[in-house]
Amino acid sequence: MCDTQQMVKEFEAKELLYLNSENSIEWIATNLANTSLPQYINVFKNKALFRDMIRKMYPDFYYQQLDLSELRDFDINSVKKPFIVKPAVGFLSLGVYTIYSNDDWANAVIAIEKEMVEVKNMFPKEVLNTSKFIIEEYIEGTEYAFDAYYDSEGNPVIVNILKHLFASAEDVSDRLYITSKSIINEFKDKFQAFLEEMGQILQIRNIPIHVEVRVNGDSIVPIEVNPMRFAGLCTTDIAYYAYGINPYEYFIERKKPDWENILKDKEGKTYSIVILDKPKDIDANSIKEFDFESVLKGFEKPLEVRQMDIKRYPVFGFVFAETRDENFAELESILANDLREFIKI
Amino acid sequence: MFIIDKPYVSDLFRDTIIKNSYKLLKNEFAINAGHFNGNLMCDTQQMVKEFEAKELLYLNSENSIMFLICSEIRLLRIATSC
Repeated sequence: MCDTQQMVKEFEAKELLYLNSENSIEWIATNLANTSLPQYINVFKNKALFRDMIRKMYPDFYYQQLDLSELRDFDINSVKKPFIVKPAVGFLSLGVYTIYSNDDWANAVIAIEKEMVEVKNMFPKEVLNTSKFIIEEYIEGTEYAFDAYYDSEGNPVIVNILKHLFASAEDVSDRLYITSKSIINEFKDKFQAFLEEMGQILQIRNIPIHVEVRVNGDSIVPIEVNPMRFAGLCTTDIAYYAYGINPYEYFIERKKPDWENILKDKEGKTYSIVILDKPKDIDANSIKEFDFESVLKGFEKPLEVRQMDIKRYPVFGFVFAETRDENFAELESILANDLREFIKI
Repeated sequence: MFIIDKPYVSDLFRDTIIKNSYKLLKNEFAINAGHFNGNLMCDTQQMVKEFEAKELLYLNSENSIMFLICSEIRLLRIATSC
């Protein structure tokens, strides 16, 4: 068995073989190591560090970091349920589990340990054993996601705000995100204040971020902040289709949305990102066709349709749509639809 | 400046880079995307210079496993040095 130093060397050597292939963040770590960027990224990607850093904003927020080896014997009776367990550093792409009961915890620990077994040949044992997990309180409230960047002076600029809609209390899907004049107007100042406070603590600048929060009354609590990008899979583009805001240009050119002007003719309209995700129990290889045409008939004004290859991606595609308030039912309909009627096996 | 990677780049994103002649790292994904002029893409040295001058970088994707390996190394380094 190696000592820590040898293990780091060993791991570093293996990591380099793997890393040199295709990773952007690794490129930063390698080539921009002397800049502040890797440090900014680390603060957001290390979830325990992030909670530590913003503790001043949330002095009563419960979280605790645990090693993998501590999970099985951890006394969850000391923790108020529900709570979340997830990788803290995210060294491995393990899942996020919501724990409502002792049984949930037992199942989650088994699942995590199983996942660790599946990847055990990829990494030295010592490294796997250093994997950290974070247990944190379940954040109640309505979920919002927003794209923003910090400018060269560290001032945050919000380029879009999305509300994450769910079909029911049990629904955890990513099917539908919406934005509208009323959402922007209700939250832009509140989220701006949140970003200003967070930015002052973290001392960050020149960085795009995608933020997920839950809002409960006056409380805004971050679920996570993703650095270096806006909403994933280029769904940030909804800002362009809804408001004419090209988020990439706004970041690079340091432009700030003139919301009053942008929103003046947006009354009574909702803009949505519809994520057409595959039902988990259907094998992608068994799917012959997805009837996009019929899906689109459910929308009065599709703005953009992105079809994906279900054998390569976990989704059939995306629809960006504009919906008048009086026709909001079309969004509720797609939110509740399991999409099976559009899948040909 | 931009670094693009799997899994997906939209037409808007691609066209924005092309239209504005934004600096783009010449990596495997960008080359294979087929839309970008190879002569206009930057190598690592050019990108580092560009970043040092403007400090503005956008990624379409983050490969968490890769990054987290880096993070883990840093943590281990800290642990080792303690």
